[in-house]
Order: sequence, then structure tokens, then C-alpha cells
Amino acid sequence: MMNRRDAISRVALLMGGTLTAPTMIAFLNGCKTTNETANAANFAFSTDHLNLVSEIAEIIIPKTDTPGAKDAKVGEFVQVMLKDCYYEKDQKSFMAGLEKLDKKDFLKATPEEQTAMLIEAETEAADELKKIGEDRGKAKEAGKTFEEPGVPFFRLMKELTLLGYFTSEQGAQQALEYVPVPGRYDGCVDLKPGQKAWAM
Amino acid sequence: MNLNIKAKQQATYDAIVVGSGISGGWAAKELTEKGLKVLMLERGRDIKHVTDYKTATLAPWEFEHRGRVSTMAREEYWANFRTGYTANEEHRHHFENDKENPYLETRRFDWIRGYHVGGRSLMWGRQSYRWNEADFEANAKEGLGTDWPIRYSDLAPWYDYVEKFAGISGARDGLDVLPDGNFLPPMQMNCVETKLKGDIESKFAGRNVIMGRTAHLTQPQAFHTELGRAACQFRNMCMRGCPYGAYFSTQSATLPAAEKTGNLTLLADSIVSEVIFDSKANKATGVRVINQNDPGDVKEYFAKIIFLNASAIPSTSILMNSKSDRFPNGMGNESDQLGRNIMDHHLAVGASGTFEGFEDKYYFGRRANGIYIPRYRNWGNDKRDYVRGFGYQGGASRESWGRGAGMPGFGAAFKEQISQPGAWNIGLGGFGEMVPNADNRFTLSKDQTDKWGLPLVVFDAAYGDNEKKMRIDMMNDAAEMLEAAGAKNINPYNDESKSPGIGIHEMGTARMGTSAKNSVLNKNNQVWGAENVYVTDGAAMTSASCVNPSLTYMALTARAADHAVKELKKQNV
Repeated sequence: MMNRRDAISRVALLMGGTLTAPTMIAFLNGCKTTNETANAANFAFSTDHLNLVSEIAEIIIPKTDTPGAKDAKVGEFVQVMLKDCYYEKDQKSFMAGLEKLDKKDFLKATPEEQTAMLIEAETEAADELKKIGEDRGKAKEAGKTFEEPGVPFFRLMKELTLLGYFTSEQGAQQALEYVPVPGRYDGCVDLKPGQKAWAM
Repeated sequence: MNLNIKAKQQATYDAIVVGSGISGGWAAKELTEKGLKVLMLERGRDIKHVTDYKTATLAPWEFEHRGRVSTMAREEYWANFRTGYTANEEHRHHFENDKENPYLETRRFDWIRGYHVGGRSLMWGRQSYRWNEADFEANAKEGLGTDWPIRYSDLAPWYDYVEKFAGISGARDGLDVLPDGNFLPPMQMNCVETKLKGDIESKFAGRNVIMGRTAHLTQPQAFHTELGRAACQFRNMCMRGCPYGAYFSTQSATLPAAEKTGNLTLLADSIVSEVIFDSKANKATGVRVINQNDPGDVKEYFAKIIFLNASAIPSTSILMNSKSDRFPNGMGNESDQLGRNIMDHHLAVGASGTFEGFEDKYYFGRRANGIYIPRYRNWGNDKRDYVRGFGYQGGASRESWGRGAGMPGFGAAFKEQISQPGAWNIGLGGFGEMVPNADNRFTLSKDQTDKWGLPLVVFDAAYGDNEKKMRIDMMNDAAEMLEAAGAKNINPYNDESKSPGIGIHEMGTARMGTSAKNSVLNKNNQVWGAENVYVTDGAAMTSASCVNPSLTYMALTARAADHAVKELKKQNV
């Protein structure tokens, strides 16, 4: 992790040795986010948490006549994405929701109980998103800046599961129809019954 | 002494082209084909056609973040992140790291750059439209900016010429507002777009829905395949670089044509800091170049004519840096117009909706193109409370698995459902003309420099009242047309948080005009007072039209190159 003084001298070099007040302010703000990124990059699941995330992903996208989330290693993908592509606030909201399920002994529950717990988590996320939307609207009306809170657990879990699965080798090629080089474009063709969507 | 003379001879060419993007590639092709020994200088790294397109054939699962932007990239590519797509994992390496190439903003400007061989011709949107007669007359009629020194008829033969070589696919639609050209066959509309076309054209007099005109080879001609170019494969991964050479870029088209002549020398990693002016001879003699990998390594190259094609802001920056007794305020800047009248196209306004019906219809292939609605406002008898107009780019498609995140439910039935194509979505996004305004400008910082010791660019630009008024129509008209075509869940939008530059069509700052008192360039794109220097990229634009600008840069460049070689033969430059 780069400390502030090192970082400033590096930028001073970049700027040709001179720094004016506005640049300094802009830079110090930038430095904060650099630290944030560095903190966020330390993110990792415990083995138990990784198992839990993989199980939840498999319930969202189970193995059917096509591979499921576990086949596509979605648990590992969620970890990489949270580590590299999300800030601490999202990592925290994710972990808060995950620990809530862990405390309810999710992995030891029956499939029916697990489904009920995830429906509850999904309802909570929907309510939370609705409230965030309202607060954002109020802030906008009042002309205030709105500090976006972390994405609610289940919404983030579901988004990353779908992304991780449908863009995976298994999901894209088997649950969807993957045509890397179409070679032509036909604007209007009949959709066959049961036809899968194009993978991209 | 003898050594110095020899070194100077070795560094001397007939012409120097600064920049290797869309316009630089054209300058190099035209000048070498006319027999000149040309040195093309590119500030960034080399990118070889096909072999250096490192992500071109990767599958989605081969990207660690499946295309998304990491938080580190988000901070390093802070200006790119504002576009919502250029910082994405598949093609980020073709855009500039903004932290390493900083610029300053008095008023915000989104500056999206591509410093490498091919420039932004590798990642451009490829939409290719001619300007119309009124576009060249509007400034004079409305008393805005300054008059263009040329008219449509001056450029029309050059549009014919560049369209043929570049390969522009499109239909001959017979519209005055969007003149037809030398086209390859058009791509197809899908079922919903065809319905939209019928409904809009029958319900709104003067409005037309046409297939987008794009620089893709739909039917390559012999002279295309001779350069190694093949037909479009409908992969829609263009910004990664096309291994088929199917869209027009420097690498696929103008560079191989220029290299074939044996007259081209291409030097990458070469940042031009200034044009050298000889006050006695009263002409430019060459350029000063900094090695981008070694700021202390500075060289000079010499030529009879110099083309600046570094893209709008860098070409003008070079002129600003080129100070001499003759040009104390920057080359060609007697008018104080250098750096002024930055224009772009304003966007992020329009409407989207869903479409019922056609559930049993789909499409095959990924068409890197859409439908286009040419300008109809302030055209013919239409008169608005603003000047100029806008066009729409749009399209219809069926939803994919992405809709699942916002849908309740999970499990086997949910998986099955979102594995199938969803509802039809349709969208129309406006591209509006931004009028020239001398207060929209950039300057060079007096105290801050980049790692090569060159002053940082400081932007100070914003949309004006005319753009703001136009945007109301851009939003409402789109919603109204979608409604008339029977769309549901219509969502009109007008995102006013965007800033100039977001269209990545930066234009102006060294405009063409009728005299040295009102402009930087004359009617042949020559710098006033340094007539052996030509500027033929976006910097030259006197107004912006509402259509995508690259085809016009190509035509201006081919025309200027023709002029330069004729002047050279007459020994006028």
C-alpha cells in the first residue's frame, strides 16, 4: 500500500515537479480512493464462506440437464469480483448478508428451509433497494449529494451468480447458444420452440 | 560538420504526417501514393494488425472479470470510466491510462484518447455519414462562429473517393438531409426495427428510419481483399481490433496501402512537441520529437510539407507550442482562435421501451450497427426555438439473461426462463449538434507539465442554452415516436450530468475560415502564414453538424493532400 507522502512525490514527478492547490486537493482525494482500493484488494472468503457462497449460487442456478453454478465455479468467481471490482462498502454489505445466513445454519438446513431463507433475503434486498431509491430521490430534490450505500447482499449475490454462470464456458455453451463467429446477420428469423438465447 | 549535414539529410523527408489515426492514415496513404517520401510519427506504441489484437478472439470466460472494470482500472482510467464502456476489460488496453496522461478541467471535459499506431481508428464507432449542403452554410446564415470557407460541392467528390476505398455499407435513401454516397450493400434491420420504420414514416411526415451507414465491408471489392481485408463476420467485438480487417482502420486499410508504395517510414513512440518555423524562409521546416520512452532523447525531422493529424486537441496543442518571432502566440494564431470553439455531439438523451408481439421472431448474428433517424428538426418548414438539429441512433433487440437480476425468483424454472430470449427492447439515442462558442476552449497550463515536460491541457467548456433546449425535443420526440410505433413501458431520459467530450467527437480549436483574422486554417486546411503546414483532423472543423464526423475528416484529408502535392509541384510550398 502506497503511503501518502510517497504517492505525492510520485505525482509531483508526473506533473513535472510542480503542484498547485487544486491539483493537490484532487490528488489527495485520489489518494483516499487508492487506499480504499488497496484495502478492498485484501478481501477473501474463508473456506466456510466460499462453500456457503457456492451453495447459494447452486440454488440460484442449479444443475439441470445443463451444468449448474458449481460446475461453473461461480463461488470462486464471486470472490474474485468482490475483491477486484467492488469497494469496501459493497464487500461489507455482502458479508453482512452472508453472515446472517451462516448464523441460521444455512448449510445444515433442509432444501425447503434454504429456499425460505433465500426468499426472505431476496425480499429484504428488494425492500432495501426501494428505500435507497427513495432516499436518492429525496436527496436529488433537496439538491444534496447522495452517498450510495453498499448493494444489498442478495441482489449482489444474484447479479454475480448470473454473470459468473452465463459467461462461463459451461453456461455460455450449454445453457445458452454460443456462436463465436456468426459469419452473417439475418435480421428476422423464426424462433424455434424452446430455442435458447444467444450467449452474446 | 559533414556528419551534421548527413544526419540532417537522413532525417529529411518530402512530408511528415503527425499522428496515425483516421486522418493521419489517410494523409500517409495519399501522399505516398502520389510519390512523396513520407515520415509518419505516432506518439504511442506500435500495434500490429491482427497479431497485436491480443483480446480479439477471446471467449467471455477468458476474461478474469468477464469484461467488467476493476476498481483499480476505474481510478487509473478515470476519464474513460465516465463513458461507461471504454474502460471495459475487453478493450481497455486500446485507451489511455488517464492517471499517467493527466489533464486539467476548469469546466469538465471528458477526453478519451488512443495513443498508439492506428489511434482511435481502431476503436471508433464506424458510423459514416456525409454532411449536407446546409451544414456548411449554417454558421453564415445564423451569424454563429465564422463561415466555412468551403461548401458541400467542394467536398462531394472527395466523399465519393474516400467512401469507395474505406468501404461504407449503407442504403441509398435519397434524402437531402443525408446525401447518398458510394455504398456497399446495407446491413439488415430486424423485425421490430422494420415495424418501427413503417410506423414512424407513415405517422410523421419528414421523418425517416434508415439502416445505419457504417465502415464495414459487407461485400469486399478486389481492391479491399488485395490489402488483406475480408467481409464482416458479425461478431460485434470491433473495439478489440478486427482480425478480418472488416472495418476501416489505419491498420486494415490506409497503412497497408501506404506501405505498398515503399515510400512510408513509420516511427512509433515519437511525441511531436512543436513545428519548427524558419522566419527567414517564412515556412515550417520540420518538427521536434521526444522519444516517449526516454524524455531526454529529442530529435528533429525535416520536410517540405507537414500534416498535423494528432487529433483535435493534440494538433492544436502542437500549434500552441510552436512559438516563434513570426508566431509569438502559437502558430497560425493571429486571430486568437487557437484552442477556441471546442465542439462535440451531445448525447445521453432519448427514450427506450419494450415491445409486445414478435415473440416468435429472433435474429442471427451480432450486427455492430443500428438504425438511424436523420435530422428533421429545423429542416424544411420545421422551425424550433433553437438552431440546428439532431439525429437518432437506435435499435431493437431481445433481452438476455441480464434481465434475471431484477426479476424475483431462483432455481430450475428461473434458470430455464432466463436462458431463453426475453421481451423485445427498443431504444433511440439522440446525437445533437453543439454550436460553436469561443468561450468553450482549452489552454495549456503555465505551470504544470507531463512527464515529457509538455504543458498539460486545461479544458474549460460546457453545453449552452441551445443544446439544453434541443435536448427537450430529443427526449420527447423519441418517446413520441416509440409510442406511435406501439412500444410500452416507455422511459424518456435526459442525463444532464454529462459533459462535452462524452461523444468522443471533439472538434474545433483550429478552425477553417475565410481569413487569418477569423480562423487558423484556410480553405485548403493550410495554417495561415505557414502554408506548408496542413491540419486535417477534428481541429479544423468550423461547425459540428449532428452526424458522426470521421468520414468528413477522411474527405478533408484526401482533398488537402491533393492540394499539397499540386502546390509542391508548382513550388508554392
